[in-house]
Amino acid sequence: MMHSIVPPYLLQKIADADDTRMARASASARRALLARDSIQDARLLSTEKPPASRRESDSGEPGARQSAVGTSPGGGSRHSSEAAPAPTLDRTVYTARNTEQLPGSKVRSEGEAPSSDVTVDEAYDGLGATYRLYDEAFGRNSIDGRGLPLLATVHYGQDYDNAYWDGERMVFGDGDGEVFGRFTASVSVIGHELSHGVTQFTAALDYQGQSGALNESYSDVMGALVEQYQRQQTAGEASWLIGEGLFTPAVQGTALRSMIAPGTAYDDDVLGRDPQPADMANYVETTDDNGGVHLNSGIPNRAFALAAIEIGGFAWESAGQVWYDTITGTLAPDADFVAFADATIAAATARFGADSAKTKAVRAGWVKVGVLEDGAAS
Amino acid sequence: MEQPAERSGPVVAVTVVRSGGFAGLKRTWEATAEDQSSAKDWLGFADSLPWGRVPSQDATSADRFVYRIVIVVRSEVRHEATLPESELTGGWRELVDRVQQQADAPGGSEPHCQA
Ligand SMILES: [Zn+2]
Repeated sequence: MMHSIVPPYLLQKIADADDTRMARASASARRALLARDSIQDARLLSTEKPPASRRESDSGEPGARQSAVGTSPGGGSRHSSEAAPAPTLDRTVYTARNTEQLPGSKVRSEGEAPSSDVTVDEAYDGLGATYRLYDEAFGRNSIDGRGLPLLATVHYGQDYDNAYWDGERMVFGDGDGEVFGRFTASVSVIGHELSHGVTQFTAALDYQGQSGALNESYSDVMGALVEQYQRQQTAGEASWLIGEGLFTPAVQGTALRSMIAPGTAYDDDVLGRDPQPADMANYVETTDDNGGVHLNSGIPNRAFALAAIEIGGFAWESAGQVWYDTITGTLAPDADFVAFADATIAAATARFGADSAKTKAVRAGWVKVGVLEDGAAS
Repeated sequence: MEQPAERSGPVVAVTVVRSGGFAGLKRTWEATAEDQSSAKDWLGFADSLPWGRVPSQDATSADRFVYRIVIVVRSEVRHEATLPESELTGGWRELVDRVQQQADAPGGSEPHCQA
């Protein structure tokens, strides 16, 4: 039996909230409380600065030291004056045995035969597929550019509905079995998580607001490209879905996100509709989820997919290369959408020329989603 | 329309909102205490937590959950905090577990996801 706990002043607050998602939910007492908090926190956040750089790794591994902001772009593998180490793929998969203890016990190391556990093998194969994209398409030796060993822990927690990057490793839950199945089931998720590592070692985008949404979007872009590279799909053939097959058959939805059509990945009686905006007109202001980093990422995601499809062919050879050049370039950690868009146009210009069809397609993508204005100089 | 509650409402309402995660799905759980003794029980536990003294951001990870906890006593907000999943340990974890257990139990408030 539900009881309403909404005092009238809270209902007034929610009427004032400019979070359109919140406004739609205004009948709910609990959501009213949230909207009120969101407004308060938005004020606080505008005067507080999140930590600018991430802590250094204490793992003691030589390759695990995280780059500070402003260190050499590209992670050093192609730009270093020292001889670059030969590319080395070094994977280790652990199991947490449904506890939350990390790293758990080692179950498969590099070169070992497949295990009897599909989750372990999906993680191992996904690490390899991600390594291959970065190595073969972009010439990057692992996530730090220096052959950092790739680590994954599977079977984390009980009914754990998530996959995350903890700063040193990927961690995968098995899902609750009702809404989500296991999170290793889509290679796009594995590529996404490892790409958080790439961002950590390069642009180090703050995980908050627009820079956080760009951090998320870069991971989605590379997650999609890992899958496309594995399947040798052109931009026109690709699904542009993130996390396809993660939902159980009980959920009305094909994937967690759609890069080409944000907001359409699912529409379910229990989960509701995919809340991602497809353009700046629908940008979501919220303090949940570090400022909606998993929502507003839909906007740069679509800019990328539009550019890649317009250019045609394999996306990792064109738009993907531009996005990789951007994240390994001179981007500021607090870059917003416009700064990132300008940086992609500069990167496209440097690689393909200002008047190339590729550079024009990149610009057109950002215009279409409302980040840049038509004809705006970069 | 829901009726704004006054004296007829619960004495204490504890709301947990989980946002973020890879999927970015928001989910809410709520537990309520309808009588003085269970209200005292909830508040005795809740008041002992270090409200206002937890970092609201986790600077090293990505795709982890974010928890917002709000405790309302007779329609007045008594406590509120936002915690990254990495800080959800000890008493905080116990509080969230208790709310989720009560909300998921038969007769508890319907857990719901909010897209
Ligand atoms: Zn992510």
